[in-house]
Amino acid sequence: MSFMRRPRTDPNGRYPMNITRFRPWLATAVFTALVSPGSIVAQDAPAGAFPFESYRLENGLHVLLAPDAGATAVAVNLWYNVGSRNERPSRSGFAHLFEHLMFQGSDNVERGEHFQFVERAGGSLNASVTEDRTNYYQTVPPDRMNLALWLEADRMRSLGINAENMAREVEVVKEERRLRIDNAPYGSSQLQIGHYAVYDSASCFAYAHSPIGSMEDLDAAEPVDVREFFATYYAPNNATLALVGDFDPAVARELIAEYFGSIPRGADPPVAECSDPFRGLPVHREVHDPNATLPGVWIAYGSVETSHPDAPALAVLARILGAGESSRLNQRLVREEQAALQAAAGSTTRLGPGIFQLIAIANQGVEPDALITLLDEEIERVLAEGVTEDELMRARNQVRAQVIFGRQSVMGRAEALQSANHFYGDPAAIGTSVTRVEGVSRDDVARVAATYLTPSNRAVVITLPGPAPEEDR
Amino acid sequence: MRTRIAVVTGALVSALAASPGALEARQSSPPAPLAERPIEFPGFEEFTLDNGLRVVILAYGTQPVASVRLYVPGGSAVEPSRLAGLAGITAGVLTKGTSSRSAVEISEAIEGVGGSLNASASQDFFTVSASSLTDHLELAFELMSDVVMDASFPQQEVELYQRQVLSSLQAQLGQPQAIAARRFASLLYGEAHPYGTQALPETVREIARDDLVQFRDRVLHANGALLMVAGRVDRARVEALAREYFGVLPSRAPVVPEFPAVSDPVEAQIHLVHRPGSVQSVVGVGNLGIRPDDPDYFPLLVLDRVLGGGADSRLFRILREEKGWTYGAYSSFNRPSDIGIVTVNTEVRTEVTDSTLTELIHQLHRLRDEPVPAEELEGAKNFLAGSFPLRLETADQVASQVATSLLRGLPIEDVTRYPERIRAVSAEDIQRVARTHIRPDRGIILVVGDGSHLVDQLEAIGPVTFLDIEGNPLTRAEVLGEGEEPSSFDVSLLSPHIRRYDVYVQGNPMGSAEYRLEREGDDWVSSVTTTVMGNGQQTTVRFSALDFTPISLEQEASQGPMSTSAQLRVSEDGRVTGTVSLPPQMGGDSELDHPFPAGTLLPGMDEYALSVSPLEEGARISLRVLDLGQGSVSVLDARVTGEETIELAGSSFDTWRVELTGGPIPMTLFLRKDAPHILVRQEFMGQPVRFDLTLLEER
Repeated sequence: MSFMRRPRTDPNGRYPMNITRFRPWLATAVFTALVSPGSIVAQDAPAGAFPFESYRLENGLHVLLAPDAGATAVAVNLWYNVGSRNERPSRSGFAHLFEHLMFQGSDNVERGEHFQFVERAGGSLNASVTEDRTNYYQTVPPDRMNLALWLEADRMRSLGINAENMAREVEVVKEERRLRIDNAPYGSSQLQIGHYAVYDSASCFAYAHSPIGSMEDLDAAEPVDVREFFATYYAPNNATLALVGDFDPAVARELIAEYFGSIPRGADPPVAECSDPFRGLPVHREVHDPNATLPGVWIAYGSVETSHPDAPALAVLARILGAGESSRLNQRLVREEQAALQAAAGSTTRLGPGIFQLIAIANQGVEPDALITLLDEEIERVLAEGVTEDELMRARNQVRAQVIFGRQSVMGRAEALQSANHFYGDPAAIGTSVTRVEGVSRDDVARVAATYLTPSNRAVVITLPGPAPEEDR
Repeated sequence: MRTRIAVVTGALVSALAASPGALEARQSSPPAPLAERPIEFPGFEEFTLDNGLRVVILAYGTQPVASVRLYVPGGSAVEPSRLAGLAGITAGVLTKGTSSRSAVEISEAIEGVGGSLNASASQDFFTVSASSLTDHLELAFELMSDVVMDASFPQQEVELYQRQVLSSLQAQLGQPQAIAARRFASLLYGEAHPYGTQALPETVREIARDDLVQFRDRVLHANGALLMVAGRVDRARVEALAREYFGVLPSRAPVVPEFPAVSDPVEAQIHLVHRPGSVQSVVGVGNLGIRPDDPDYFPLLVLDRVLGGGADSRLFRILREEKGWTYGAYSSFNRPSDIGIVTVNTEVRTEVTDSTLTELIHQLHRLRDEPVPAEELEGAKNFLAGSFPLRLETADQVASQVATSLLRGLPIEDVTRYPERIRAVSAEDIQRVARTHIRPDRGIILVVGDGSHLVDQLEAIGPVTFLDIEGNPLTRAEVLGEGEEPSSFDVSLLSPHIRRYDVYVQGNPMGSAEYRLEREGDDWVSSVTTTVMGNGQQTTVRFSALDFTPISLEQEASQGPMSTSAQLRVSEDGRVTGTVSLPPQMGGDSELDHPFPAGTLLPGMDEYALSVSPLEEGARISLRVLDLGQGSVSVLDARVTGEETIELAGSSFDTWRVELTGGPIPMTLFLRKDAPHILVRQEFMGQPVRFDLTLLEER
């Protein structure tokens, strides 16, 4: 189990960078389509939409069922509404630690058996954690849907938390941090630009730290803290279960009631605080990175939450600036100027305020300041001239294709339902993944650029290859 | 024409499934499987165009996506052996320009609709594929047909791709598992069989643009090819597009590779690939396997799962969980156009190499001697049959299974009725195919590791043949390092001198380096100072002027405000000891004490060793150098690959071009032909950095 499972290396096999990991949940405008329980999306549905039903058990477990007789497998996908945003200062890394502990056994499942049961049934499984949520998921053949549900219910009801399990998994998580952050080129720069440098730690600790956790906090974790975290966040009223694929909804409802129905409801979890998160900006920071061989420039502007009306235009702008071979940053910095080995942009939105990022890794011999100048020139160009209709169309096409390709598999659809529910408060937002972006105009793009991409609203992090004088943080 | 086949998956229906009355007594063991849900394997249609191109349409999936794939017989098996690697390079450059579109225009066109376009070559097939939303299917057809029919192979793109292939080849030759895979193929098939031939740096370098054009002209034909269109597509429209864009693909008899007859050795052979400095050994056992139409395929699939298909299989459980010798141990077999191979392999620490080999062979015999117990058999069959529905999720997944079956001319029922075929396999079947296809007594035993620690272990098992990592024969003495070092480097050729270099980064001067070699009594002392982009490093190495024996090393480096240093000394009893100081956050000071086998060099001595080596066209020199970062010994391989005249600062140097691999970055050195072979220029593969000689004072 590991922290954020998407690939660490980019498709060109160059530097592990955050670029490919910008979340696909692009944004929303205000949407109107409300689907009531049991309703069916019409035959001529919008791109990416599919029928589903939504209900709650008495203990608060939210259930989303999307039966599809044309599917060949079943995705059993459980999201807990907990991520690093819910952690308290000096207790960071708990959300991530749980992603590991959840495989360490429960009343009726021994350590490691979860994997074995699912694999012997021909299924596949995994889990991941981000700032905003933790997911656990398995794809199984239709006749083993009940096995996956039973396994998820058993650990929701009776996860085994003891000093021995914890000690072992704390070490595994620390090893993972060494592998992914401390020992990886640009790992510490990514933490800076995604969290520490951008968000104010006093007003928005939720996003001012990363899901991977700190060594000291993990060492200080006590079983009693961990049990409290489990009781608070791993309760049925804080979880959403999505089933997508070839199953009989009546059988699914029965099994869900049988396995999950008697798990007691928990108290309402506290709400993660994040107000005035960008009050510390502008920020300029240098990171010494012994693992990096080339300088890098990372710029993040404070932006908005996923459901904000400006989010789709920010996503389109990010694509035009920095997604793919034909994007503006690649054309200018990589091809024409040959100043950067790689250049990209991305809009990362969250449940709370998100960020808009520009990234460039220098070619040998190019100073970071030269890259900042080039990036600024490209921002200026957007502000002065806007974007073209052709660029807008390409961005729309890409989003449409990405959404539709992603919904081919039952797991892709289950994740889409969960995201819509989690980030837009309505699973029916699966039907607006494409239309949200298709509604973006050139004026919208120019407006959001002028609103958010301002010098006073940004953090600049520079990666300097080589060891640091003291620990950056 | 349209085939529709109902398939039932899952284990037996259980009467216990989902009984709602169980609410009170909570279930304490996993529930039994639910009722089976029949799965209909998607149907497909097939027709042939006038030019002989076979077209298959697989209309499947609920999302409006489509893919087009052209499979043509003729992969690496039909490339000339002296140009090994040609098929892959032809594929790589195929999408990088046509007479009407540049590489950039092609990528922009397909990216603009969120689609993708690729070409690749396997052993037996050349494949070009495109995927997009159904709305953009015509663009996918158009771009694909453009690159298939009219690729222009721009010289610049050919060179760029060739460089990338060389870099990845160098990287492969540094990885023990990749070395093992290459050697297995060569040893099992022999060099005369196309599957036994491997791309090497020299064969890749030999490839020119014209070879790509010729290969394309020879291979890309309609006859024998298969065009697979899959996704949510309309039959009539696909047929029209196929005719329009591929109806003009020329037809000619397909290229048929020549597969000479091959057979296992009459008795087991042990081959040791010597990789000095290895702390682990790859241990493998293999023999020739099955042909595509062999009815033993399904029993062999289940056998493979029982033996070494995953974490639940015998090799993993025994070698990793019980013995703790390895991180993983696996079995595998393949089914190419000609006969395939069956292998088991694992990577273990050097000391347990012989025990591992004995255990692997024992496990292979066990499959022949004992039937697989019922529970283990069920677990393996459940995994394979149960995962069948998961492989029918998307049109692309189905298309690749159907295409493989059609291209190999196999019964389509093997694909559509896969779970039944798996469930029909019995313990007796497995034992029977084990006795036929698992033959450790007539197989190839392959070990990749440090021969100096392995010769005795392996010779206790049987006679051993020695190879280097590219498969060239070595003698036992060479593996043991007996009597080679003193004659390799004629230290008397060294003379005191000063050299200075400019360091260029992307053509701009960014630093300098100075080398100074001085005699102190019976020792040579080399001082090297480099300053690049504000970072400095100074290294002083002392070694014997009588026999090149390393004595000591002092190194100091600074990067910004940080500094690191090392002081090392080589002791008489074959160890290197001393102190390495790093900044506190990188580990601080540490004492170093490592074995230092005879013939090993200290860092910095490698250059002097090369300068007094016998260089000539094709010469190869192997250097063992201590790696300060790892505390281990790296083996550098230097090869003379040509000659070049270099003009620098008003002087002209006749040089040997030497490729140096095995270190952290592969590099090319240009060494003066006259001894001592002074370094004239140094380039780093894949990085725009170059050292050029600016001053030479020899005394």
